Amino acid sequence: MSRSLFLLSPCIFLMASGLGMASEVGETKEGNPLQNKGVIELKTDKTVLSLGGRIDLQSMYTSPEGSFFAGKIPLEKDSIGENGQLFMSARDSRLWVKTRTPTKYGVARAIIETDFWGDTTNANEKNTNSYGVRLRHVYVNIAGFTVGQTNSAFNSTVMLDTITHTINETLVRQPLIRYSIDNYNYAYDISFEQPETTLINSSATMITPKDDVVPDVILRMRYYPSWGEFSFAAMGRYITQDRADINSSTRYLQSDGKFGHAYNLSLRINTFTYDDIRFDAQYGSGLGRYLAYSAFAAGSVDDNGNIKLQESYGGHLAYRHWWNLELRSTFAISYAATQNNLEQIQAAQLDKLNKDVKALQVNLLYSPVKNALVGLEYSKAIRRVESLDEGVIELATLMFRYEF
Amino acid sequence: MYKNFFILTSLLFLSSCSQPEVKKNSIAMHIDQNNKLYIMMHSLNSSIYKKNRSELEIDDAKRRYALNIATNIKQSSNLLNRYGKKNLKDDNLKNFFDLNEQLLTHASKIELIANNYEMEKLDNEIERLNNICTSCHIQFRGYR
Repeated sequence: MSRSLFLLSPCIFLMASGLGMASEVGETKEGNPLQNKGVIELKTDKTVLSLGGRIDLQSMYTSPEGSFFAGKIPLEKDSIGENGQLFMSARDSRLWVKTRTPTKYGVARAIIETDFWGDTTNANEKNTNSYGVRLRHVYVNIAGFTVGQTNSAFNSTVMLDTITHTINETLVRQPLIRYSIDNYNYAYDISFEQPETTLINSSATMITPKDDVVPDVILRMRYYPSWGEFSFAAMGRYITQDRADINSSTRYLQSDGKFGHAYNLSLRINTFTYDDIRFDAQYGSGLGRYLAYSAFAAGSVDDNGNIKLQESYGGHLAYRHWWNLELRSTFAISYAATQNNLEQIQAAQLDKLNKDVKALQVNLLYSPVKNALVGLEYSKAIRRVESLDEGVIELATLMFRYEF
Repeated sequence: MYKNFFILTSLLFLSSCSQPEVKKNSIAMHIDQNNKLYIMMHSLNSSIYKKNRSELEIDDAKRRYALNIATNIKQSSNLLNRYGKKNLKDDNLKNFFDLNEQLLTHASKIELIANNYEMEKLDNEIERLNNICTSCHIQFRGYR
């Protein structure tokens, strides 16, 4: 909270003191930016600062009670007798501050974006729902360089137009240094990103050794032709543990490391009028946390500390149809799976290991006025673990959103 | 005999492989460009709903659509220029060229706005562009 006040304080000060002069360098001559809604131009450094965000309310009925994240869908054996739960949340609301400044290297752009999925220490649904602010993006973009925390270059560039996330979602936000060559219909990126090894130990618990020494390196190409959008990303990463802790009193006796590689392909093809087909597929040995919100590990570690990487893969296919300019629907199916190294896992722990997960989503989204969105979505997902136990969850979500 | 038959068959086969040449006039090509333009404008308007994108990434998408719109307008302007020279005279031609010139000016402005990431100015500029298109359609086509 104090952070958001800190972010807002320059705006409040500027508004109070009536500052703001039109910039001439590197901008169109016509029109005073001060007359444009929602923009305050700072006097110093020709910086334009904008403040925005969104108000979002989601009302979900889940049956049984549980989460739609791939690795957390409740297993049937754990949810016997559960009928469901109505859950309402405004935590997906967002607040951002962004700036742009003309420089001799082009326009420098910076952003800090937050949502309210942060600290829950003081939050409860009984009284105040006082959820904490959480950092999403904080980065600067200048001369082709992106420095800070934001979406990984490995993320799919074509995301689905759904309210709930896709089950195979490749979504990682992390600190990175990226260089991009960006023309307006094609782009190339090279990105050095924060490494984080995730391994399954012999008792099927996911551990993060915190011994990484080399950043994850991602090469990506993007292409934006008139028929749609295409991107392909290739990633190399070093999965390692350096005598990591097994528990509070013991460590692995030796260190180990393995080189992992992964690929992600995203595609959108325009079909009739405004409709499109969306597809993505990813595969990798050591793909781990980049797929399905860490439902799978990058590999496993045996009791001697030896690492063995595991293959994971996923994909989705969706069709988006516009009924008219205000009303649209998406029908999507998605899937994600992994090949666990079962020979290294204790047989009694197999129900802790995710094997595969599949989902379908269908929705109706209505945008009655600009920047506003009302949506209704039905989602269903099935999770299977290595003991072959299954869990099924169904969701009906009603969403109201307004971007300001 | 066989040689002639072979040559004739080959010619028939090759001619069936080639596409008949479709010569579109500049107005038909302008309509094609227009349809593409509607899709780009629609994509630009709905880019705020791109999921899990930061505001700067949404600006990047808007920039891309805006630059494509500017390119499309410039191409359309060339086609209309050809149409005007061929089919219009005197005052009509002058009015037509004036509107076409305005089209080019606004396409260049959109390009500049996009490259400077001044996204808050984009809606107004596209609105102005729409007005020019509408005014031209009403004057020379008789309807919007």
